[in-house]
Parts: sequence; structure tokens; C-alpha cells
Amino acid sequence: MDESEQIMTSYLLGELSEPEQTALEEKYFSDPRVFDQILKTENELVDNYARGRVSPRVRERFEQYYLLHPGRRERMKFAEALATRIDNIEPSGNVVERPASAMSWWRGLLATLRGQRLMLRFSIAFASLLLVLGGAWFFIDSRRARQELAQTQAVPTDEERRERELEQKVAEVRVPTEEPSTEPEPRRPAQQQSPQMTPTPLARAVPAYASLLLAVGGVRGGDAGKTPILVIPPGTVEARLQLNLKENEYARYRVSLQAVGGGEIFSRRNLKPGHTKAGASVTLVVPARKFTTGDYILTLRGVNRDGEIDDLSKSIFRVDKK
Amino acid sequence: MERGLTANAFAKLLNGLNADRERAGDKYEELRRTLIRFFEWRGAPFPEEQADKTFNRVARRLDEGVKIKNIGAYCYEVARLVCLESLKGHDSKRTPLEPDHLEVTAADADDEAVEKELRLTCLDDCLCSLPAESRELITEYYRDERGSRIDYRKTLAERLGLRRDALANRAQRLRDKLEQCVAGCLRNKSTI
Repeated sequence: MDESEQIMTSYLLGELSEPEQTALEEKYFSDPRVFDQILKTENELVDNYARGRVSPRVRERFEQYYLLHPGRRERMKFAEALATRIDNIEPSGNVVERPASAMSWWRGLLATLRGQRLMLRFSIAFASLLLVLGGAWFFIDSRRARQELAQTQAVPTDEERRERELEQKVAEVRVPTEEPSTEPEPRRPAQQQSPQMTPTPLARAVPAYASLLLAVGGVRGGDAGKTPILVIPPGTVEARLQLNLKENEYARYRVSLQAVGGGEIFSRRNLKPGHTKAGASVTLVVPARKFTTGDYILTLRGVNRDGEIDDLSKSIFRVDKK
Repeated sequence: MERGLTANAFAKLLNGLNADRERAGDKYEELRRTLIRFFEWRGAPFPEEQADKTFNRVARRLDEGVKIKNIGAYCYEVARLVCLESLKGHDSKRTPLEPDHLEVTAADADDEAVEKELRLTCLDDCLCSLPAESRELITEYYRDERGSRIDYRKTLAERLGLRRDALANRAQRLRDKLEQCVAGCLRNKSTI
């Protein structure tokens, strides 16, 4: 890090004196390149923090000063999400080639081990190595066992010879009960056939969310009709519950979700109604993992301008978690 | 109580930034972006409101007939005052929503995890909305390249036929755009 970057980092961490701050601010208000440079320094700082790559001193300062401001905190959360996402994307050959195109195998291995998830990648590499070694050992061992078995089978023991003679005698006295079939033997199910390589089915696309539309049905207990069912397929991340409002008289709404016979599993305050073709509605996004199969009650409350809270509806629905 | 900005005052402000209306618009956006970050870096609450308050005051002075040679430098002087007022005055007593404008409250311990999941979903949506070339550029530029980042970005710039600073600026603009998109998406998710 050069001196100017160091000063910029100190500015972002609130470590400069007032005259130093003013000097830098005058510079970046008059020169857009200086301003861009501070933006870049800030990105580096939050990205490094998000990847756990700052010194303890900077970390402490970052948490005590930088994260105090809601806007800056949001920036850090964005950096965290961006790092999570792009560090999991394989590099694209379309945009850039790696500088070292002729990497040796060990440098390639080191390259795969690089990054924030060093331990995880190392673990995967170690597990792969164990698998390879284990596979080699298994191959050698089973080959040796097959050879021993072949040798053993080639020379039948006295006991085996007696057993075979006995089986032959039993076969001679057995009365046939069925005509021998001329039909070929039906094919056994695939699982019972000798093991062979079969193509792995493609991973089924799992929806990111499951959704359910509910109409507000009044405090006494929803519509008299069928209980709506929210089906949550495996791998679903979130469930979106949309409550269509008959009337939209409140500025804010509160929603509470509880399992029938159980406690509250989720709640939200200060929900503003959105508007669809069907009218006003409130949407609740709930992590799918909060649900198990069973019945749930969704309670909707309205908050008027004086802060008074009115119970508006209770909607019952069933969750079928696959 | 701050008075609103009149059309005449705003026209004078734009004219002071550049005689050409289109370039003046760009300059205005650029200066507003600088002001917002200035207030944010200084820890002032509601940076966007403070930036607009600064512009209002500068435009009013122009409307009153004050000659201002360098609007950027003048804006900075006004912004410092606005910042001091906001930190001392009642603006700081207003509590920004947590997180900024996003109406998700800490109802239970899982809220943070929920927010993280939502943010990632929003980020995916926003990344998908970018043209493929931009998406690849941002993912490659901000990729975790510990130790070789400078070399890596140099190679990236060469590959794309850009100067390094041009690449850095493009990546920065894309990142800002993506950040705004994610913030908007999170607001929608909490209010739809």
C-alpha cells in the first residue's frame, strides 16, 4: 500500500486530524481522479474485511468506526455478499486468461487451494488424495484377494468334493414339478444386475422459493373453504406468503406466523403494503427451513397513524414439506 | 426549515456547472455522488438529504446573484457547514431505519441470516440483469486473487483492450450500479 492509499484508508477509518481531512476533501472535490481513488481504496478495505484479511488493528478500527454508519454498514454487507458469490464462481475463460498459462501441476494445485476458503479447499484436496490412495489400495488388495481365491478354487478340498457329490445325488432323486421354460429369463431390475456405470441423472432444478397466496379472511378464522397448502420442495430457500388485503386502511402492517399448537416462528413489523392488479397486498418472505410439515396461523395486524394496533385477520394454511 | 429549490435557481446551478445542459447534468450527478460520499464518510445521517440540502443552498446563493467561480469548491464549503449542522442538530436525533431505509427489524435471532439470504438472492437477480460482458467483468475484477491482484488486473485490462485505470473505473461504476440494484431489490422485498 503506497502512502496516498494509506492516507485514504486512515480517512475512511476516521483516523486523520481535521486539517488532514480537510486537505484530502478539498483534493477529491476538485479532482475526480482522487475521488475515484478513494472509492477504490474503500472497496479494497471492505472487501478485505469481508474476506477476513485485515490486521487486528484495522479490524478493530473498522468495527468501531466504519461500521457505525448505516450506509457504510450496508456497503460492507454488499461486499460480503459479493465476495460470497463471486468467490464461488469458476473463472471464465471468455474474459481473462490466467497470467501463468503454463502452470505446473503443483502450481495448479496451489492455485486451487488459494483464497478465503483455504481450509475448506485444503480439506477437499486432502479428501481427494485419500480417495485416490484408498482406491489404489482397494484395487491392489482386491486383486490380491481374487488371485488367492482363484488359487483356492482351483484345488477343491475333500469337504467341497463331498458336498458336490451329495448335491448331484439329490438332483438325481428330485422329481421335476415344472416343465423347463423355453422363455428367456426375465430381465432383473437394474439394481440387481451386475454393477455397471450408469449416467447420473441431471440435477433437478429446485425452485429458489415456494409461494402461497392468501386472502384476508377475518379474525374469526379464515375462509370456510379448503385449507390452502404450501408445498415446499427439497432445496427450497424461502417461502413467500402473499396476503391480499380487502381494504388498505393502515400505513403499516405487522405479521406474525405461528405453528398451530406451537409458538411464533417468524414475525415482521413495519411492512408496507404493495399494490398488484388484485389490489393491496403484504408479502412475507420466510426462510423455508423455518417450516416443518403441519398447520400454521398467519396473523395480520394493522398499525394506524396514532400507533394503535388492530387485529385484522388470521389465516390458516398447511405446509407440506417434501 | 429549508426552503425548496426553485426551477430558476436550479437552472442557474446547472448553468454554473457547465454552459452545455447535457454536460451540466453529468457534472451535477458527479458532484452529487461526491457529496453523498462525503457526508457518509464524515458520518452524517441521511447523506442523500444532506447532499440535496447543500445544492439547495448553493443554488439559492446563485439565484440571489452571488458570483461563484468554482461551484465544486463552493459546494464543499457549504457541505462542511451542512455536515456540522447535521451532526450537532436534530438530524442526528432522527434514527435511520436499520439497515438504511430497509424495513426489516431484528424480530428474532435468525433475522441476520434471513437478510443475508435475501441479499444473496437480490445479488443473483441483479447480476443476471447485467449484460453478460459486464457480469463477467465485475466477477473477474473483484475475484479473490490474493497476492497477484495487480498482475491479474493488468492481464484482465490487456485482454479487454483497456487501460488499467479505465478498467478500474468501469468496474467501480458497475459495482455502484450493482449495489444500488441490490438495495432497491431489498427495499422491494420488504414492502411488496
